[in-house]
Amino acid sequence: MLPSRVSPSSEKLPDLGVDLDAIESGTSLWKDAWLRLRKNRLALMSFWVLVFMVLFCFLGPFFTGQDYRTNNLEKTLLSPQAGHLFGTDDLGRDQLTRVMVGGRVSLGVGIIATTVSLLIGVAYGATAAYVGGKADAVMMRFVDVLYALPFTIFVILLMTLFERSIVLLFVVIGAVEWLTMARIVRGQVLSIKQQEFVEAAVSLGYSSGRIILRHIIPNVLGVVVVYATLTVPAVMLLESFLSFLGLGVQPPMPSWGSLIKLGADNIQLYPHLLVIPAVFFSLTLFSLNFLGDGLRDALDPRSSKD
Amino acid sequence: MAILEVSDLKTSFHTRNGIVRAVDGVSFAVERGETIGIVGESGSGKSVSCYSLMGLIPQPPGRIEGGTALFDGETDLLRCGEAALRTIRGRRISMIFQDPMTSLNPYLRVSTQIMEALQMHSTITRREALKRAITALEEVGIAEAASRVQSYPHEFSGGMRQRVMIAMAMITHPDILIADEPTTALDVTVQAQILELIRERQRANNSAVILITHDLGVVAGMCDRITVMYAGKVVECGTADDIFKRAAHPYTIALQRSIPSLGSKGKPLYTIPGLPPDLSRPIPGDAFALREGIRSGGKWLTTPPPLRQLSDTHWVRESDVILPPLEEVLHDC
Repeated sequence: MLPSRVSPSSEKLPDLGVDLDAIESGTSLWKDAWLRLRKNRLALMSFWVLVFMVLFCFLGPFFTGQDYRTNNLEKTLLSPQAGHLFGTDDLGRDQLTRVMVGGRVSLGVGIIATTVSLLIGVAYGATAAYVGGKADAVMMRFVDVLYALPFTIFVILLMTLFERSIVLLFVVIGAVEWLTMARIVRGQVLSIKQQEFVEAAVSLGYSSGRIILRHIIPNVLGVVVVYATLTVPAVMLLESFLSFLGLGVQPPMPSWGSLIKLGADNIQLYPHLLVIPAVFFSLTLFSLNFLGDGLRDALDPRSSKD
Repeated sequence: MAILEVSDLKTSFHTRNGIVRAVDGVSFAVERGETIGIVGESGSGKSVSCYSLMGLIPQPPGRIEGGTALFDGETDLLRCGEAALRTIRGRRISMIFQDPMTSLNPYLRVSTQIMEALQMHSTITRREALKRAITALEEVGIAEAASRVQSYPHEFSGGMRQRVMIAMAMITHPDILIADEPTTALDVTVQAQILELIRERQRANNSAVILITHDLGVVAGMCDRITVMYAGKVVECGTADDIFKRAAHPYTIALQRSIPSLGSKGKPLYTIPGLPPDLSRPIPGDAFALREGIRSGGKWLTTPPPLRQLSDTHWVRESDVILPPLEEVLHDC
């Protein structure tokens, strides 16, 4: 229904004599955030390091001319050299290709599981806090119950109930990690809900869904982003722990976690087996942390210095 | 016919310490183009009355126990349900809040926030909405509105933010504007400008304004009719002249005594002794008579004092509180 009192006709409006296109451009939250992020050199560099990592791991194996799972027992444990830039492992497989393929698993698990935990956690926590009362109590007790379940048993249960696959691994880790996210978001939303601008939004006739999505979630993004960048390494470590138990990725499929473990076993004689995957792993984690820090600042309009 | 007619509104909060009867049988009406003032101390129930109308009382612990609020002769705001209320809020009744520092979302541009108010309530293109947002900002006196419309709230001063709030509230040309202490958080020099702006916007839209304040000076200049509240009840209501020249209730008189005036320089300022009563305990009689340091004849301590009509426009609640002569009070200070 079109309310008669709000006239949508433009005839009554004076020509403002300004370029509306120029004013209109650059209104999105993410566009603003990107402009502010570009001024933060460390965060920007981290961003490009991560882009490089993704390209390196996902496109690299097509260019090495080697296969990550073909054994060559005549060429085991070679040092870095032409043909095998990162050397070979104990079964003679090309370490460069294995680092790339391992990176796919680690980055994939880090990004996908974190995204899953982010989506569930933010939606769940924000809803619980905004609705409040009994719904909040019931929803958060459910989280408490899941918290109390031993994680390993939970994963073993899911892994045996469903067919074992990498995708399932991603989802399972995400499904465990969202609990903390939900609690953090709930706490934040509880305090933001008290602010007058939420009351003002209600008084302007906005629906609850709109208020949560448009007015509350942007206000918690800073905290969420920082926590998400902390979740990524946690998730990567979880993956290597599960792989170690035989519940994660299966050999010959590598991950950075399993490569580091192999390197640690051979540290005295073949340090390059440890150092190279460790450098990639650490570089990724550092970049994620710097980027997360930069994003938190960039997402807050009050932090802009211009 | 009145655009809004509130009668016998009762709102209470069910807390651990008992039932707080924040609003206990309040009635008032407002016509199109008219400004009414609701005055009272903190905790007298003036804000809660208006929040009840807008459905902004958190339930629980709040509960609207009774009464009706007839809007435009057809909709009872207290019973029409959330969906119906949402089509009225923002479009036909708007509200501005006390603290402009927190009533705008810090993460959204001013343009986004004004445009959202508009786009929610009409089918309008983004371009049109942006134009109207700029026009609205110009109308509330923000210079170079076109270049400032994309700013964030933190880039504006308190007075300008309150102007933005007014622009947002008035952009849909509402029938009623509820202003909850719109000037309390502002600088004195800005207060007058904001009040003048509200009045000017009201004239342009022929809206009704409900002004909630504890500042008698504000209502004196702004309001056609005034309702004085104490402890959740109306103690006196009438035209501005009734309240300021012919005040009949001792509480209203005491409030006026506490306004500092230019001539009283160097003399102590009158304050009403004691504190407002604890509303979580039932108050059977005249709540003002119970106040510490207030003398009364004792007639209305246990029976509720009725309202008495003094003239066509002027009503006052019975009270036998005896205020001491002003000179005597000030001498004691």
